[in-house]
Amino acid sequence: MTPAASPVRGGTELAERGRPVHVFDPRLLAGLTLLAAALAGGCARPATTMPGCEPGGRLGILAQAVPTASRVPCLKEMPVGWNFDALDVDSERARFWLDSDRAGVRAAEVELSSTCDVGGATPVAVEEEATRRYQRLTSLSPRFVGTTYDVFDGGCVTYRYDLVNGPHIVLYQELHEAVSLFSRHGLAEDVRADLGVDLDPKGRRR
Amino acid sequence: MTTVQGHSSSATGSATAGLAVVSRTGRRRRPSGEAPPLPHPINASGWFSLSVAAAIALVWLLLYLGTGTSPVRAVVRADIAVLQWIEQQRTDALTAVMLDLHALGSHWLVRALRWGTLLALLVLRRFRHLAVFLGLILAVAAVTATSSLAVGRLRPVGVEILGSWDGYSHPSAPVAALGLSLMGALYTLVPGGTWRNRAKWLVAAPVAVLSVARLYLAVDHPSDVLVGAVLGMAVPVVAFRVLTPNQIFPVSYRRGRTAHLDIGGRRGEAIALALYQQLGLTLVDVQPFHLEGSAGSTPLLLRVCRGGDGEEAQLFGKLYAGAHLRSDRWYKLGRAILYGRLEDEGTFSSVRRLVEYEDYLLRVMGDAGLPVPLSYGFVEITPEREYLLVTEFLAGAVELDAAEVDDGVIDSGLAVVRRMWDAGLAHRDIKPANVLVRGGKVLLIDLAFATVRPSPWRQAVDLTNMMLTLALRSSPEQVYERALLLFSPDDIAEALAASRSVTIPSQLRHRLASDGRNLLGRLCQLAPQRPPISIQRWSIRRIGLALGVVGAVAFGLGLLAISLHTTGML
Repeated sequence: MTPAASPVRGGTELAERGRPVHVFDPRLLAGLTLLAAALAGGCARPATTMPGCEPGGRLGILAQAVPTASRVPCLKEMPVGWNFDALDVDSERARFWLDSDRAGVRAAEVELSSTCDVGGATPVAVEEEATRRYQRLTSLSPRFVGTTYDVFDGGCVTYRYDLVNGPHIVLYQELHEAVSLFSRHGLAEDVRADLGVDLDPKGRRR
Repeated sequence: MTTVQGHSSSATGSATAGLAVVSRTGRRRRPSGEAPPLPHPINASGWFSLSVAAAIALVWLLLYLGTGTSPVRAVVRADIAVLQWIEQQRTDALTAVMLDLHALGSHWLVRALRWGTLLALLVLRRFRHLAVFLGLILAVAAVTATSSLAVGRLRPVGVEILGSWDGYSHPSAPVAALGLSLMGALYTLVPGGTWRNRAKWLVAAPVAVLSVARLYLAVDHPSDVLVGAVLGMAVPVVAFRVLTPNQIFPVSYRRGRTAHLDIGGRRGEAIALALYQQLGLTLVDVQPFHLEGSAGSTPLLLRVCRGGDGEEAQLFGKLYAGAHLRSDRWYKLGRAILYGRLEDEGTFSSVRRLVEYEDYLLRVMGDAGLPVPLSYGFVEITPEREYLLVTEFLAGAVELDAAEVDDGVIDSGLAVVRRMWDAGLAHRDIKPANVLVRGGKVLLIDLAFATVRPSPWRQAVDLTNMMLTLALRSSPEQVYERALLLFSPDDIAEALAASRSVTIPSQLRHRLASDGRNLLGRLCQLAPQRPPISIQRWSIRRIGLALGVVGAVAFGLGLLAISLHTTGML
């Protein structure tokens, strides 16, 4: 054993190892990965997660939240001054919120559930077929606060709005024009065509 | 034999204590491209985990950009086929069991695990592990939520979903959350090695059970569970290995200061290799030495010999790493805020600068004839991360606490201060642990805080601390009387007037408190009266630092609270 190969008496031949050197700091890689994740996060702006009125996962998840609902709420083209804020969906219900530059942040909440209590609400006309609309207003001025219900087979869409400013009637109309109801049948057809399976589970299929 | 150049003898009087057996004939320059003694790599499993993470990132990109394309559709169909097969195996009894096991993914369990780990890390003062774990919680939550929104995958179709769910299907957030919580506890609380390897199976079991339950209940797709498990388990492995490498930040429950580094395993081998290649010393044995007396480095007793079979000698080593550098920075920041810029409280920019400075001071003090250990220089363990300062081992010397202190020792100690004054030097950390006695003479060690051309105030403080240290083993009257032989009464009065609790090292302060005698008060009575010298120095920098720290803490706490709330921890 040569001294050059044995800095530790009786130890391994450490001096001969000649391991390659890492020319970059692993922390740099970790940092770049985090940066990439952050940049990727920019791709997932709320606007891209908006449940638009077209078949696909964004709308299908709402249908899965309420398996009995024959329709699901969706967003058509957003009126000027309105923005999609966020979506919250679980195995019981689905909700999303809309911001308005005039009526305020989260000025309106739209919720899909299997049932809703329309007691005390007034029936109003609606253009959607096979749907009954009810409205309950709790304040007209200075804030326009109220609830609208769209009741249909197996489900209900509740619109809660609290319009702080602005021309209330115009904002109210814009809100209801922005939100439409998409047929569950259409969603199921799309899934069947895409994957060859049914959207709804066996035994609970509508 | 080529001996150490520059210092042919040591001021400590042990001219040949180490030199007779120390040669540098075996020195070897590390060729370009060769790793240092202790590289800082990701090992094979780390690279594997990183590769898997990169593959997942690629899959996400495909899912996001290529939804509806053939590869993605094939994955989705395979997922559904697996779930439909599982659905056929369902029984009422098994379903009841799986619904119970599904609770493993509950928010409450995850919260309990995470808070338990964070509190344990706080109690154990393992702040680096705590910060990394907290960062991982936030990062994994952000990545999970972001990818979930970006991909926007439906819950399984074509099968009946039996369990509750929340949000999009991909990736499986509960699996990722449980995996991260368990891996966080594993890598921050369980010591590396056999225990951790065994515990990995315990950690994997609940994650596997939860994954099976979610697949049985058709809440997630198989690919969702797989990606969730990788996010929750592989990513933390890589992060902990990169940011809290076990060699540098070992998880240990042994008694002792956490700033001390483990010198076994690869670091021990690296120390041997570095000593051989850079100083030509063959390491016979290395042991921790008086760990309780040092917080700013890891002190070591080195037994070395020349070549492979020469005569053995003892040397003293001080291992410095990033943790010590950070400790030094925090210490100086705290003092700057509490007392102002006392003197030369500037921080070091790197570990290399820190060890270079101490090596330089050893040589300067040696040149000035002060009784300090002979420096053999320092060796590089990991570039810019770890260095080992190698000095003479003062064999036969004892700490002042254990020595017989007579007039000769007192004179020797006071003469050391006198010589530092004359040479324009200050030790700045004179305390019983740093004042050794051998053959009736005082030796000074630990020059990390020493300085050249200090302020008169700092030199005065050195005198007070030496007088107090000596008085602990004698009497204030005896020390004062001997001091008058080397210092004027005005010098002593100035030194005593400059002293406050902050200027007295904590070890000396504790010894004074436990001694019972009011040594400082008695010395002040003996010396001429002089008004205290103010040590509070206000400056724009001090005010800015204080405001900056308060602001940073408030901002950090606010950000932390928001982040914890967002990730469901609050």
